[in-house]
Amino acid sequence: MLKPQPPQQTSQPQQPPPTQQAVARRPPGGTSPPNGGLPGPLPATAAPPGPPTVVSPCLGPAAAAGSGLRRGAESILAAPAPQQHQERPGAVAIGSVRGQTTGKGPPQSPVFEGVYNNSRMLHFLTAVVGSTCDVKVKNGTTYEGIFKTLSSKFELAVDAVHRKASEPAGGPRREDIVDTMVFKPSDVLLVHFRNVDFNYATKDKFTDSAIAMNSKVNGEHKEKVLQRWEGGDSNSDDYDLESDMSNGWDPNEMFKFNEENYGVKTTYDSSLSSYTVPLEKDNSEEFRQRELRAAQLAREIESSPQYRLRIAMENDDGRTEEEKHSAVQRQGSGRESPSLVSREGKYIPLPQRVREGPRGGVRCSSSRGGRPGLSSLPPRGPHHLDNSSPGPGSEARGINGGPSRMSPKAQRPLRGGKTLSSPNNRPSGEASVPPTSAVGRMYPPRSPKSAAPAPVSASCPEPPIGSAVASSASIPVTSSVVDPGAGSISPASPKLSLAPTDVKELPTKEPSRSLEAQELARIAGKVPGLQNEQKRFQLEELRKFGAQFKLQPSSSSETGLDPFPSRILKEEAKGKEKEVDGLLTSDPMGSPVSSKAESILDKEDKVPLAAVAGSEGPEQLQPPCPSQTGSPPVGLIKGDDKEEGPVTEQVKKSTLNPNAKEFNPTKPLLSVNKSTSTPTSPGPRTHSTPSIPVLTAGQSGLYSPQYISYIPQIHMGPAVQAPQMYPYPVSNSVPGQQGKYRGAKGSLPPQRSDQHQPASAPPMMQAAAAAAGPPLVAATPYSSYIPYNPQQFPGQPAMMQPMAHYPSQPVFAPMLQSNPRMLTSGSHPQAIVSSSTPQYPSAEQPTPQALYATVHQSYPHHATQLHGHQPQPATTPTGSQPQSQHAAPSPVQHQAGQAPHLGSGQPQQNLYHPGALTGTPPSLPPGPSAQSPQSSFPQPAAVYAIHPHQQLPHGFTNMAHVTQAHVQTGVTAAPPPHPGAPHPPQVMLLHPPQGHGGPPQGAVPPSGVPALSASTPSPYPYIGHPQGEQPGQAPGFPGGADDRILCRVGRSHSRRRQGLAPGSVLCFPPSSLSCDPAAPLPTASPALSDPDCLLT
Amino acid sequence: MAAPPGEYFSVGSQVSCRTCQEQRLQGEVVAFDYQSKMLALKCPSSSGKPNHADILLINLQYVSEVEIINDRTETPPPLASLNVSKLASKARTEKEEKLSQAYAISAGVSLEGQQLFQTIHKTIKDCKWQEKNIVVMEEVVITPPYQVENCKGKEGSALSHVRKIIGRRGLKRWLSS
Repeated sequence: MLKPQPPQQTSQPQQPPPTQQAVARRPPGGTSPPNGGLPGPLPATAAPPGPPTVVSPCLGPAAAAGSGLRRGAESILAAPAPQQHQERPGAVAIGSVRGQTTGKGPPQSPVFEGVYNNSRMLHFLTAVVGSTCDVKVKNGTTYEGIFKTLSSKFELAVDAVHRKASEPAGGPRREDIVDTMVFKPSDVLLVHFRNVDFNYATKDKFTDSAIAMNSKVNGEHKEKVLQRWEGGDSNSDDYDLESDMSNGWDPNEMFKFNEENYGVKTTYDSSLSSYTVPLEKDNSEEFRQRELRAAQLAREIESSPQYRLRIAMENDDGRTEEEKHSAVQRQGSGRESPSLVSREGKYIPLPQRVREGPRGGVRCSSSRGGRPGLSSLPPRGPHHLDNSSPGPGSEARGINGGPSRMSPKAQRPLRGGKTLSSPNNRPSGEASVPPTSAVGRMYPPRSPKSAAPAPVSASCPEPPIGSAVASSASIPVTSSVVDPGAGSISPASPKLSLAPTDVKELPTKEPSRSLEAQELARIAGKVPGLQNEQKRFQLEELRKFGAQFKLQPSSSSETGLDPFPSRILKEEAKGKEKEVDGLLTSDPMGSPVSSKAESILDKEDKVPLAAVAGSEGPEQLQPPCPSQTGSPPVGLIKGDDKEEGPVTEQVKKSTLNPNAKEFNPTKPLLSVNKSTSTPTSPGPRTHSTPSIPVLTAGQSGLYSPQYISYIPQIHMGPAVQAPQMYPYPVSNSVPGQQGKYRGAKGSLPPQRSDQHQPASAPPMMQAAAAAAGPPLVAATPYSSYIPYNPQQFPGQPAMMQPMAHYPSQPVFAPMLQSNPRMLTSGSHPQAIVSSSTPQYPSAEQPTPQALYATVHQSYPHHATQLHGHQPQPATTPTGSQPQSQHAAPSPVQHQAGQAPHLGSGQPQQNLYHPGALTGTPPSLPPGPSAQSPQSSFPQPAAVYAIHPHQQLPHGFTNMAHVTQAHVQTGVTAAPPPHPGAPHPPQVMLLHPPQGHGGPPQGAVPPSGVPALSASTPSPYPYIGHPQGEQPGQAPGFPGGADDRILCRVGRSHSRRRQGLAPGSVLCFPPSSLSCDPAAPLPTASPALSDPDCLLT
Repeated sequence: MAAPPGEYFSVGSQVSCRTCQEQRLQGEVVAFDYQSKMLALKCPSSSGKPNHADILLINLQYVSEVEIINDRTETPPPLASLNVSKLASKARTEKEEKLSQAYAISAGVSLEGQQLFQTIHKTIKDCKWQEKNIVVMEEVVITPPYQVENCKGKEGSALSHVRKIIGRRGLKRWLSS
């Protein structure tokens, strides 16, 4: 029985070191940054050689590693003198190891061993971290847990492990779960990782959140600098738009442009001869009657409502498509342009155009006087004055004016008519009566003749123009004087035309106005109208007409040029207006930018506020818990505030990063829950404390004296610490310990749950809270310390605090050693009992001495830490540089991986610093006081749960002391890894060791106080003497061995009743021994007791 | 020291193994470590999710027969970088959840309560145990015996959702009985 059991026990102590190695090496093997990778392998290599170097000299021939370890321990215990010698060589070995690591620094590849060289295997096993796995071992047993890490030797570390039953009725119970279990590859048959998402951990560098996190440096919250937007292209755009708004060119202008620039001559014929046939105009009465008939019919058709509706539909009711379908409403320009466009663009049916043709013909005869009417519009005033004396004259002029107004529409068809009428005019010239009509007809051909000669460039047309003018001048005079009958006929025709002109005047006015405004070319056509009027009235006017006629070409050219500059000017003006509009729009663009910046600033301001609230919460919560019962509700309220802060932050973040990962919101929510659970825990704690004494009167009596005994020590402790320089770093470390202490309570609850179900739940909450709390504190404070380094006073605590965090790694090993043993003992009580039997008697005697020794050793280590830190920044600037280098990457990694946590953590950090600085004195007294009641509280509960006997509580107190030793030794181990500490692996280790460290941290305060008081004189000499550093380091290594021994002792006590008596004895010796300054003596005593065990 | 893994198992090939306990395992080779004789196989996810997979780590020392079903000689795709901190936080979260559930079970929660918690947890991740009570999103509290009428909390989508879940569970059980 005894033989097979020993190997199991031996396997346990081996587990912790490989776990550390795996954790330390994983980051460099995986995807750790080069800076992190460099220091990473160094500590990894340092850890493994430690035990073998110690074991190899003692047990070179030993075949079994387990037996070797045992023999080594026994030999140490048996020979006290050899222990001292071994300690020194251990330190030497450590030194040599460090040297080796420094040598191996540059070549990183050789550092990796075993499976770490297999990048593919390492990649996949890293990807499954955090997944639930089933481990099947050789004996067929299956264990289910959460995969944590693996060592270079392919040893698998699994958390929250429970044995899987054949009939899984329900989930495992708390008692069935082992915190951490390590499996050797040789013992593993099959490992099944379930539901692994390989895309979960893949780094996303193309998301907003990822980019933002990458850009952050040393936790600084930098926002991207926004640049003002300048709309430089708006001018050209507006100009283009303005030009687009134009109505285009006049067809004639386009024809000229094409002919001049491209030599292309249009075949367009305004007469539309290819599409229609011109009407033959006769002077017969029948023709005239038909025209009247047609005109009347046209008026009737046009006046009908159907016709009007159709026209309106075709012309879109005067609205443009922009007005119909555009949401943008243009101001003045918008209103004007669409109307113009609509009018110009209006569709005129062909029938109207065709009708206008013949009407145009008729109007041609009537327009003889009409044109001058249009042109004479401004001079009408004087004409009317002249005409006022002759009544009939005015009437005649009015008649002439009507058709003249219609003429502009028909200009194009009129031209065609003119060309046709020109040959008619020539033969009609021969007749005596038609001379008047001939004169009127002669005028139109002049314009075509003038146009024709331009391309022909012949001199012949010039003389015929002169002769025509002369002939026309003489003919009209004679006709007017000689033929009164013709005069009588002429008034009849104008009367007929009056009716249609009156009707047409209204519609024509509007189009004429728009046409005049847009088409200046028509104005040139109107000029000849003036000539006609002058001819009729007087010869003198004819002479003036001649003069004006000469000037016409120059004036026409000027008018032709005018439209372009005017349009350009208009466009420029419109463009300017648009530019102005652009500027106006730019202003609001600027305002939103400024508003955004302001919002960002507000957010930045809010973040620190939330941080302040977050940081204040924990500080205020801790003191009130132990001091007053009313404090719990206050803490709860503050907890609520914390919830609000992070929630708002999350909301803002979500708005800022809509593409944020789903993972981010879940983390903050979890953190919020955890933070809320912490404040709730004090309530149940206060409730649980009274419940225990009520349940057990006897034990309550025992409890009260213990509590009272601890209180006075606490009071004295801070007083003693306050005047010393060291108290400050101690106070800084206190919060870390407090966090760990909460973890301790969490671990104890399972025992309580057995007896007190209602009370057990709150402790579970505490456990969860503790597990969550410590990692935040551990990760966040470190980054916050860096920015505060420049300050002189806070610089020291900042340096110390990181040291406090480093211990988390070494603490992991001792915790693993203790936890697995205790837990495994539960699963295998028989084996443990049998194994503890031989150790029990030896453990009893050396226990008190060992405890004292460890306590003493732990304090000197603290002193060495302080000493080491102080000279580095002051005397060794190079030392400070590497520190900064180490510090830089860690916060980045923390932030990248745990942005949401950092968000909540940073505020705590910021608040922590001011609190520590300003509240240093008050923090000292409440800290230990808070710890003391917490530590005392779980003891009686645990004792009651395990055994009702009075002696048992003493045994448990010993357990607490043992755990304290573990924590202290862990802290002492921190200094060696510090110089080459790999930040990435620390991240991995920080969480589990903190959780495990809960119970030992809880016990720390009572041991810490006496240790400080006992070692008060000792730290001073260490500082003065440089040699003191070496002894400080040396005891660290042997401390580990002592821890192992203590662990075994503790277990034996918990199992056997007989041990209770010695436990009670142990309680007294530590207090009495604390007075004794001799430290080495206690270490010797346990060794002496070991031979007794061996003998038995 | 160790021969390159490629010479023993091609990444991406389908392999079938029979363990010394007559257990048949089949999957796609993703990695192999010669020194420890560990073979990593990728199998379809036990949950049935398409984007998830199961990884089998087999110790060849305890395998009696290895059969290569489909051998692939293609070059395996490059390994993507992993976010270690994200994995660490996941491991911590998973452990906390398991422990909190264990506490509840130790407190005497009935099997129905455990199943209800699992069902709610599938849809609402913010779900935790508070003694024997199930707290959902810090708003809804379900007390034993975990029936619709036992749901209390702030009126909202969370409360209605939880009641709906409990109602469905009751209906399903009634139909099955």
